[in-house]
Amino acid sequence: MDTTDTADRLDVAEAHQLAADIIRNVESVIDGKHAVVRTALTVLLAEGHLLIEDVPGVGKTMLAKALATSIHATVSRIQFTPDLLPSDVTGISVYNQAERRFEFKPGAVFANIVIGDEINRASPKTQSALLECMEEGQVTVDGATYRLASPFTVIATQNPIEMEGTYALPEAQRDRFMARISMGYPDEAAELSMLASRDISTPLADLKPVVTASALQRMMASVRDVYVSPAVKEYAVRILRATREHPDLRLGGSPRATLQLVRAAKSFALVAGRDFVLPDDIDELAQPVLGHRLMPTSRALGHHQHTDELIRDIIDGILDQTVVPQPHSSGS
Amino acid sequence: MSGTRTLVPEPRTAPRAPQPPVSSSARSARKKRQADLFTRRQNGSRLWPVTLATLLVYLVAISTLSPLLDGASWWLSIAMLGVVILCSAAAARSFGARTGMGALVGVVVWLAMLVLFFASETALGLVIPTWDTVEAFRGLTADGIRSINRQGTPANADLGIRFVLAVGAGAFALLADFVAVVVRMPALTGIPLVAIALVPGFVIGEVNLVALALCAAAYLVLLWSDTRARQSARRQTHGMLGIGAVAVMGSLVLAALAPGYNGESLFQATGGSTFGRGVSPLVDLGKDLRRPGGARQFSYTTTTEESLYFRLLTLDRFDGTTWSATRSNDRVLNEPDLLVDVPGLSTEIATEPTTTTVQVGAMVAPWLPVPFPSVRVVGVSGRWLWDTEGLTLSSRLSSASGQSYIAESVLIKPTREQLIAAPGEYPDDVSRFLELPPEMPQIITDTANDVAGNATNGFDKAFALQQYLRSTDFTYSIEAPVENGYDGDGFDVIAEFLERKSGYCVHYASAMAIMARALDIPARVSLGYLPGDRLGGSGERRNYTVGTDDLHSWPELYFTGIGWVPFEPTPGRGSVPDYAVSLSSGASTAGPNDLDSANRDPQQQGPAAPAPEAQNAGSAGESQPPVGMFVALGLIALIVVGVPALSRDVRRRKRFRALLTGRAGPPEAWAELVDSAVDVGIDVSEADTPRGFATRLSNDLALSDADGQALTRLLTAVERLRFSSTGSSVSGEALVADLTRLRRAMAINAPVPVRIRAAFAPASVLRGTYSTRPARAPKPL
Repeated sequence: MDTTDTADRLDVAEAHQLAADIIRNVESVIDGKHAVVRTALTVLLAEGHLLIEDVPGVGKTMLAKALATSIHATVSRIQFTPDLLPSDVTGISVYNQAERRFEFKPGAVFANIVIGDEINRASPKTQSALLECMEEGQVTVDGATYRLASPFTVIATQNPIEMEGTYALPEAQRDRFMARISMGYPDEAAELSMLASRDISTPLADLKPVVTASALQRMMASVRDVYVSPAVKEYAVRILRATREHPDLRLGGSPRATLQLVRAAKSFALVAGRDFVLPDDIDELAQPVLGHRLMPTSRALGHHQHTDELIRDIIDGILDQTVVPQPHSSGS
Repeated sequence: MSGTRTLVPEPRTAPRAPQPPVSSSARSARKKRQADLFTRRQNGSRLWPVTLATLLVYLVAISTLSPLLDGASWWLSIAMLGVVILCSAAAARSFGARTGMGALVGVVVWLAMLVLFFASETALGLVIPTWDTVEAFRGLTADGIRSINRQGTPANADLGIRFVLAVGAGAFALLADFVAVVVRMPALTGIPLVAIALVPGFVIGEVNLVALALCAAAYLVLLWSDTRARQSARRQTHGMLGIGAVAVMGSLVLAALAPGYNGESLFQATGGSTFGRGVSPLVDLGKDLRRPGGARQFSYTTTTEESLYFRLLTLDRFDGTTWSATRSNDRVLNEPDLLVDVPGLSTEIATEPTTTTVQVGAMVAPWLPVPFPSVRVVGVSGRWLWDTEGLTLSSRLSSASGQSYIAESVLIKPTREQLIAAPGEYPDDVSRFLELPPEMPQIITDTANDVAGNATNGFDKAFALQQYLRSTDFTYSIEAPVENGYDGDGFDVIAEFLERKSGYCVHYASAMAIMARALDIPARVSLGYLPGDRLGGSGERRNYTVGTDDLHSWPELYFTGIGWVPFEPTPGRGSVPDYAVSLSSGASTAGPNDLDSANRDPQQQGPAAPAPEAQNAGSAGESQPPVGMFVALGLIALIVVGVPALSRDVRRRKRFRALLTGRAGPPEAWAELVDSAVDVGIDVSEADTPRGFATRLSNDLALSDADGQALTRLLTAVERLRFSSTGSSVSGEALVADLTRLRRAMAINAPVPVRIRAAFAPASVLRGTYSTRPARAPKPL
């Protein structure tokens, strides 16, 4: 986490190359989802946590696993169920009779990449145990504090809350995720090619890591160095302020959302091979980063069946209307 | 990832709406409608400043008309009309109407106000027009046009004029609103604005620079408020204002240089003075007739039902080149109760004693207008001399201006029989009215003899002459013969007149007088005014007003025992005295005893009242439509159209030069690219990122690979400079080369009409660089 040591960084070309390798690797098992994969990697590199939300069977878990597998790092997977206990996530102190003392058994959260499958099936108590870890980067059990691994990223999947047997994540906890993405159904060609290649074999079994954990950490360090011009910062702030003033929104984006949006944009720029952020990067990430943080007014919602659809329209409208700041000097 | 697309290294891939969940289309349509309504309301509220600026332009525009009309009440009502029209249109927009619908609301309000104020008694529920309303409007329009034609300036804003004004001003307000708010090209309001501002210049020959400066200021305020409403960059604002200023200054200079209608400078204060003290008053009369405006000269109240010709001067001597007055029998007016005799009048002739009170306005002349034959004038100040022969009053020192006096006159009413019976011998003192210089052109004698034919008595000859000159062979024209001193009244001019058969009252009067002398009838020419316009009053108090467009001259012939008898040979002007009315065809003249009735009374207007010039010339009185005005307006339109094209070109050259000399970098090149795209109709928004704009540009244009690479280079350069920490190192030459290539690609792609528009009405100049889209956006900060 030392940001001053330049030796720990990759230059833009190297980082871009590695990112491309990861994306190619993941895409070998997930067809036709380039943008989703790229956004997922963006969040990973920005040291954020990712929430993948979609109906069952579209490859949420596949994406999480493929991403985790592509990196040579420790991966753990928690299948959330209603009877899962917080201690299953964080770990528990067990009394070792032989040594006559309590001994900490680390939970599933002690890994570089934690895949939380169907997080909304767990009880709120268990959910918040995981979310606390995400926020604080450490676990406290019986008065003892244990640091989590670095890098540490949670990739959680959940079914849309309309499905049966789920506990929706509260707003405050959704805010912990840097971005929420939605897989979407594959297009016809992608679905056909999937049928051809995967009806017998398990694709994940053949997947090999392409990046080491330390390389990933150096990529993360490079992300922190990506330049954000004042104009772009102003643009991001304008967008967030617009969400707070929008008449159809009950809850706009928090300052944390602004921070996360700019941090994600820096990561996105690096993935794209740039060492500076464009307003276009902000545009690109506004939906995934802001989508799960905004809450419409009940009046605006009255006309919509789907909250997501409404939120998406609102964000699109804001992006369409927010003026990109122009630098006032005409020369350099 | 770079290299996979030709245009941009990393195009937007994820659509913003990944998977639209299914929803009923009706629901989303309703949502869209609501969102639209919301946007339109915001937009409408945002347009209020533009509306107010338009209103300011409107008020200034109608104020420029104030030299033409008397009083201030017309201004208040017309101003209120504009306020109501523009504000109702803007209010409709604030309530969410589309801008075009707002304009429609304005039209409806305009019509409703016209009905309410001018014809509410014909309407259903005060404002819903019926067929009667249309009829009423038609009548009002006719009244107004007639009133404009007949009145001098400043005119009395009667109902007709007010109606015409309300129609015109309302149309101007709606046009300005349409141009500034609906089309969002407020620069175009300059054309009607300048047109209106120049009207006084063409009507009264007077350009008020203060008024023009006010117009310019209001125009700039409008441009400024429009750019404000667009939230454009400051630089654009200055550009727009600069263009507006150039256009306005151009118009001002043009207005100053534009030739006055009578070829004199526009800056002189004319309209009041008439009759220079030149050698020949008749020559001056021609100039005065052509002077625009028909300035008010005097008004009078009379007791008679007859229409009075007012005389200034009697011209009794003809030397072959001009008519002039001898003042042989002067007597001084200041003697108390001076009563003069009417020369030659015998007691057998019926007369009507008449009292006329005259109020002279700004008429600067050494003569007093009096009805003929006046025998006593009371109340005049200064030293005035009676010409007892011609019964006119003149002064060497005093002026008619501002005088107020009572003239007593004896209207002579001879019968036709008395005139026919008049003997052919004349008293000695009248014989000088028969003198003609020997060098008379043959055509005059020939024509006189041909026309007189075998008529035996003086009156029949005179009548034949009058009818000949009034025949359809002759046309009245104040303009046709102006070159080479045709304004004169000498032999050569009259000979040419008889040849051309076209001229104005001076030619007719002079021709008839000369031919009468040639036929041995004593004759002279009178100079004065037609009866003018009746303002009202009845019985013993009939009020009239007389303007320069009523200037006239007519011949008088002497009949023994009766005295001097006026005739009217000029077609379309004045009317024929009843003793000289044609018996066979009464239709060829207006009714007896009703001089000029045709012009004043719509019911009697018919083929007998041609007065074509007066109808055509508008308020210019007895004149032709001013060609100069159309030329000037054309030039102004050209300037307004040409200035944007020129300023666009200048801007581009300046940028290229700056790029090549390294004074400007990629942002300037990008601005030029954006302007060029706007010119060819590619939508640009302030909310666009450079990349977003580039993507749309390449999609719209189907660029070739090379062009796409040029665009990518430009894009990369501008992105690096704006958003990266390192900046860009692209050379000016490369930028200009890429720009030129892309400009060519855009031009090739655009259809011909778009290319013409891009050249002559570049949208980037006229509307600012950005489209109206950001103007609709809620304020982000």
